[in-house]
Amino acid sequence: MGDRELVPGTLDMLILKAVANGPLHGYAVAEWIHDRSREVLKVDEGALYPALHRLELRGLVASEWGASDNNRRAKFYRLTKAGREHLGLEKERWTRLSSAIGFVMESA
Amino acid sequence: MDTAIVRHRLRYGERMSRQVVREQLLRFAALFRLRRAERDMADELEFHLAMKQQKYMRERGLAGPHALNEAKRDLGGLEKWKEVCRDVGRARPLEDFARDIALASRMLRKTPAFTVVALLTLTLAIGANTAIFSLLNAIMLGPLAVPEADRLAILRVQPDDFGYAFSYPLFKQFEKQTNVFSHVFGFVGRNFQIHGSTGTERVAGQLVSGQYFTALKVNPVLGRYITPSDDRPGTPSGPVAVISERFWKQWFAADRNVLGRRIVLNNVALTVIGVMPKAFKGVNMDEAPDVFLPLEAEPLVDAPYSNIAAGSSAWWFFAGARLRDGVSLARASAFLRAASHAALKATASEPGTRRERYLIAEPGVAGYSYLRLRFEKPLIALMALVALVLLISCLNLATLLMVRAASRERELATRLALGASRARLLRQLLTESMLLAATGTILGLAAAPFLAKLLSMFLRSPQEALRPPLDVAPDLRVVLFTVVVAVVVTLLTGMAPALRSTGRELQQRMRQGSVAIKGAERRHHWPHLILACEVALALVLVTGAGMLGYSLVRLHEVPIGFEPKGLVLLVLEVEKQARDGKALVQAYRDISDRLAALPGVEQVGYVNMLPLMGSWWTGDVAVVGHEQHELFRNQVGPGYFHAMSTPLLAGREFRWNDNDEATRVAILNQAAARVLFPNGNPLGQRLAVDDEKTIAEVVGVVGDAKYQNMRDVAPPTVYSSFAQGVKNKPSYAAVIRVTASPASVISAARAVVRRVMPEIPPPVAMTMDQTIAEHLVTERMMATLALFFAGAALLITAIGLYGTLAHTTARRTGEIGIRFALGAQRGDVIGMVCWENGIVALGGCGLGLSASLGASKFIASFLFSTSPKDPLILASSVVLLIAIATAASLIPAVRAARIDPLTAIRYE
Repeated sequence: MGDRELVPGTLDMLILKAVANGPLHGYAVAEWIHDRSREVLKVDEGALYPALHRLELRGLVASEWGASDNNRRAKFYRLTKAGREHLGLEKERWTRLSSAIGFVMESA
Repeated sequence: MDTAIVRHRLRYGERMSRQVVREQLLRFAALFRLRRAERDMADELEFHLAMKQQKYMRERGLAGPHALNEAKRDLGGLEKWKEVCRDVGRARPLEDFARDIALASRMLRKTPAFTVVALLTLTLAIGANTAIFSLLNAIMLGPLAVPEADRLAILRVQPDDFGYAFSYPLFKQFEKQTNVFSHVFGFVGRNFQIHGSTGTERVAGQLVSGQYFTALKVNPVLGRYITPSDDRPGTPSGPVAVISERFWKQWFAADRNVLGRRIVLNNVALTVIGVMPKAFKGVNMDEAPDVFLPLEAEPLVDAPYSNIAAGSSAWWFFAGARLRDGVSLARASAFLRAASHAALKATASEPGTRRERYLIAEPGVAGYSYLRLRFEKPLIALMALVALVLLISCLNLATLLMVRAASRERELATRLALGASRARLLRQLLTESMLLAATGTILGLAAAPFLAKLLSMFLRSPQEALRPPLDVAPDLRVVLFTVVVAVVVTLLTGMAPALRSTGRELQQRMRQGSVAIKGAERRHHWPHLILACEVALALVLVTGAGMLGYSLVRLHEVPIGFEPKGLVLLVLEVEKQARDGKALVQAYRDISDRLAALPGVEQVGYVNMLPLMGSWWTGDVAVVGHEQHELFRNQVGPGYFHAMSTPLLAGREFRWNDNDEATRVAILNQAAARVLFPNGNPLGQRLAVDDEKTIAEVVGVVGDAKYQNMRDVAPPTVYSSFAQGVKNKPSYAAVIRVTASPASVISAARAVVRRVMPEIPPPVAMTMDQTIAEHLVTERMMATLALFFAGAALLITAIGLYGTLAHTTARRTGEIGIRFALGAQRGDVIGMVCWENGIVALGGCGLGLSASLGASKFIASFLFSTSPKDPLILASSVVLLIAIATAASLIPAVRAARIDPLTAIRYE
């Protein structure tokens, strides 16, 4: 399971990205990340909800209760304006960082 | 580019601060929807599990319940998940605080005995600390309410034979100097008689020298203040007076035309020239003068006496100064010291007879205060004493909380394992001690003003009714002090137990089961160490209290040379009435005869200087043709020694006809007889008193009696007849030996005085017992409070020893059961349990003894003929503490001895 672990510190960014395209409930966030990573990344569910609550507290996501696809009561998270800005910054930072790591690793 | 980054950062920072605000708001809001939040969390979790369950059923074909279990396992511990979410989410601090308070008060209610003991001890300790602090605060008031008070200095002569007093000629030597001071001023309190609508009243005033007001830089609200040109003898317009705003309102109804009006004080007409603002109280912190007169008016208001005319032999007022700009206090003081030799020599009345003296300047920012001088040190000692009591209370609560927390280890370890953070648990445990401290502080604050009032009565005698009452109302400093105390109490009592019971090893012990926990607990000696410290502190208090108490007993036991019980004193103030000479003596005799005729009165005698009032009179006496001795002097009337029950050893007492028409006579006490006639009979011998020409014949010898205070040995004293050499209308006090109740005699005596001398103010009356009580007020206050607090400390320590032992013994039930099962006898178990406290008590006593001995120098300064290393007191204090430790061990020990081995082991 080792290769499925997230790079530390990236969970918040991934969650923000997951809810960027529209409101999702917690379960869907985990599934979305799992799918989009071509089933490489698996979100630790024990860490997911604390992270979502933390982001909500920081005003980067907002939540409301709604009906899920199978018509159950679920809590949906959506990106706020502040969250979108934050995501932009994080994305930029991540791109810089990963390409930098790439340069290092591919150098002779 | 650079600007862009800066702007970007700014916006980022701005957003961060917005986030912080929002976060706090959310947390706060969440507090009010706590239940909903918990329910939402459960709902969210349930939804997640349901989705996961469906997924597993769908993808892996698992059965419903099986799939649910699988889903739960993915999520990890459910409770842990919730605890983490709680930690992250919503209103942690506030919400937890509210919850902690509720939990803590529930825990405290569950153990009412503990809570009551804790609150009582804290209330007492915090109340006492606040009370003593507010007293200290009241006497250490300052700075003076005058501009640049820090540039003021108080001058005094060293070594201090006369306290802070100055003589007029000495003051005059320095008044005009301008090397280091810009102003030099003198001042002294005086109560004046004024004729009001209800007869003669007293008004508090001050005699002040010319530069007094200019030095203090406070402007009058009306008119002008006294200047050097007013402070001259025989000013053409007569003496002037400056009055206080209070006096202005009370006597002149705040009439703005008061300037130029006359007031008559002590039969002297004075012209009002100004009104000082309410806030101005002068330089003496103990006084609130209503009238200020020039120093030079002293001979007028003191007539027929004159301290100014008495020159260098009268030391009667205080001196202060304002430093010149740029001159430091140290430099001014050094200058004074260098200049004092010449000045003292020029003004000394008896050169060569006194030790070398010099002047110094002390900080005057807080003015002059007799109360501060006399009570600062005792109060600081008391502060240390009550601080010790507070420390003991805190240590006691800490041990009790610690052993209590030991029984909660399981609960705490469980919560730690479930993911609650250590900080969270610490906070919860500290809340309990905080709740105790806060309640104790509130109760203590409520009790403090009452205690402070009680204590301030110790400090102020009822005769000082004209003085302003000590302001012991809690001000900002007192409140701040109490808050700091409360915080310290919380941390002291709560921190150690809380840290210990949430420590890392706890979880390991959890895994090893209850036996391991108990074993580990016994290995921890923290409660015992703290208890030993408690015992040590209690011992310090007990030995200190024992010494102060013993010292007070010694003071009361010491022979004073007269019998204070059943003595009533009546102070007559006759200077301001018209009678003089023979007529005055006759009036005195009338009063004496009428007093003696009152029912319940045995004997009446007059005396000039009442003993133990702090004042005294010395003069040169010589056997004719021999060298002079400086001896104590006094003037007494017929029957005085009989009234005082001072034994007449030889010769006779004075008689009414020992007056100016008869031969001068004198009576010596034994000490004086020894000094003047080392090997001869003094009776019939001739003495030169006061000056060579006044020759008196010794007619009697009486026993030695204490003079100005009880701590010094009875001085050699020469008594003269009160009716001889009388000038200046001397005021005498009548000492009345009564068999009836003093109160009834006092009112009858006042009526007698009113009939014979209606023109003098009602005489001050008191009993000799009261006088002695007041004389020993510091010692009595110290001893009483020390004994009380030592008792409290003993009780608290006993409770701590009992509580801890009861707890640990209860938790050793299983082990003791096994011991019994293995054949231990009851005596062994009792011994074993008692020994636990025995070690603590012995160790504590050792520690306490060395602390007591270390503090002996400090303690010694409060003792009278008692050694701070008195072995009897030290030993009996140790015995007392050991006895108390044993008593505290008995109930747990007996309980342990009654343990039934079978039940105990089965329980385990």
